[in-house]
Amino acid sequence: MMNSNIKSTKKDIVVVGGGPAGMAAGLRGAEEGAEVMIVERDIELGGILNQCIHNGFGVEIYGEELTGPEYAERFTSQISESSVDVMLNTFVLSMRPDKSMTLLTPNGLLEVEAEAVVLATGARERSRGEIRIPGSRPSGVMPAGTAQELINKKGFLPGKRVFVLGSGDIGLIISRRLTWEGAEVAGVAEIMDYPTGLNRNVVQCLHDYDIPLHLSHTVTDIYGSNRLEGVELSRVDDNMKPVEGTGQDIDVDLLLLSVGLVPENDFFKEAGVTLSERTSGPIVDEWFQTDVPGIFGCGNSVHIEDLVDWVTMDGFRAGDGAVAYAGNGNLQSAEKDVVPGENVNYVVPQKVSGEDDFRFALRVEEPMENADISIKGTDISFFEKIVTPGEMEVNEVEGEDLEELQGLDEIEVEVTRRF
Amino acid sequence: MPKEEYTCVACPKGCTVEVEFEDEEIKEISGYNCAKGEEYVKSEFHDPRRILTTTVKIKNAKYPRIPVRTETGVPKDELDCCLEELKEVELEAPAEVGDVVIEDVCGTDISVVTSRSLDRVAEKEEDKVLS
Repeated sequence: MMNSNIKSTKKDIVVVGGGPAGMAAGLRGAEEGAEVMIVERDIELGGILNQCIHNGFGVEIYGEELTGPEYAERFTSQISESSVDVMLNTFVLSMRPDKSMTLLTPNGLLEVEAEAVVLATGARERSRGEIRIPGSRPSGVMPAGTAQELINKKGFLPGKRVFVLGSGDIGLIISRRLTWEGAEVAGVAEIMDYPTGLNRNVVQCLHDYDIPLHLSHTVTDIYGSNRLEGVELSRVDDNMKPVEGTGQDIDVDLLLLSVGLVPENDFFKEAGVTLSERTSGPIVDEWFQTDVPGIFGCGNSVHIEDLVDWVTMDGFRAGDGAVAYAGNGNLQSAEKDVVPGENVNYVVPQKVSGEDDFRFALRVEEPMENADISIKGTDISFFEKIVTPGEMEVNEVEGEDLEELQGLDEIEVEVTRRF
Repeated sequence: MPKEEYTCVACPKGCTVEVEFEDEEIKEISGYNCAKGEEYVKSEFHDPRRILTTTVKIKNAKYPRIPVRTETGVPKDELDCCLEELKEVELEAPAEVGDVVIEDVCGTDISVVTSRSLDRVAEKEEDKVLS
């Protein structure tokens, strides 16, 4: 029984998360005439874009390089003119498989029933605990994104001499940012033998400032009692195990971790959605619908993307799916499994109907030159001069190519060398 | 002929572009996939530029800083000068995205503009966000 003191409301579509994915899904829903609510825990829409003040956003969609806040504002300004009901400072307390949820709003609890739900909850950064760095536990060890928020939104510099573990994009960009703010970046370590962030960021953020990049290295100890005093940097072997005797101490007062993002998948779990072991996000079809009908994901809550443009496009697609589902309670069922083949770490979506055009995104396991991204048993193939695990590959299967999928029960995507 | 390899940063694709040159003059460029790439490498060879994105102080807004950017790339050698000039700036909310912060930063003839809008808030609200 619902407590009669608690307010309740009904919506066609509830979008959880007001970052780029959620804004796109919500906007598309409203454009198609659905009653949409966007639930956002922060004090404003925009999500992580608001702290990503560097440029490079929007090349695919707008053909120009915007900063994160500029990109966000293109959507927030449209949303404020739309019919979308935006709930800021609002938390989801519980999410249920029947697409109802309890919200904690600044005005108290609110029960919401939705025809369709889009979980656009983004991702969280992996923490020190998740990568188990030994050593003491002083202050001055934090995820790179936290430092980015402190610097760019709060105007607070969290350290003067910095070491960055992980060559993901956030780690590279924060290295340049720290340099510009007068801090000294002593180096960046990457456990793999190639940088995991985008090439352009290695060039623009490290090379430009002569910041050393230590490939096949990791942090093996942390020193300091109250405040961080230094880290030990060691070389790793082919199995990524530290090699004894290679350790060198580096004096720093800030260690930033840029060691990957994990989809924020808690609400998918609460709603009973099946997750992918490879992405930690939900298994989705070409409309980003999960295996709980009417519950959708999009953006980093599904898999970690490297361009916000793709996040936006996925959000639009999920919005279209949610509108279709909310309208008639049905979407074409997606029966064909999409599975990773040779040199493919993961591919999204994991299911397709084979009836509609779809875009698929994949990450490779190993870097490869002159690569063919192809669907096994068909002539569908896309050539790439170079593929690396740090760069997501996105391609579209459309029109006549769909006919080639008709005979297949399973769609195996593989990346092989052309020559 | 001497060669130099560049990683194109005109877009996140990051193409590898090779420049063959003689006496500071480009003879051949190969490996780029779009006009932007060719343009970037030429500029990188003769006159490297970077878009500067940083923040400046702002009063009466919900954050103490507002993000700013140079409208186009400034010469790489002028980045430090631009940062120094921006240190002295303090804006007052409200601000609109694209407001000019400095018109001709470090004599580059390039403007620095805000990259977001920020409403004016009551002082009480400002304190709340900061605490």
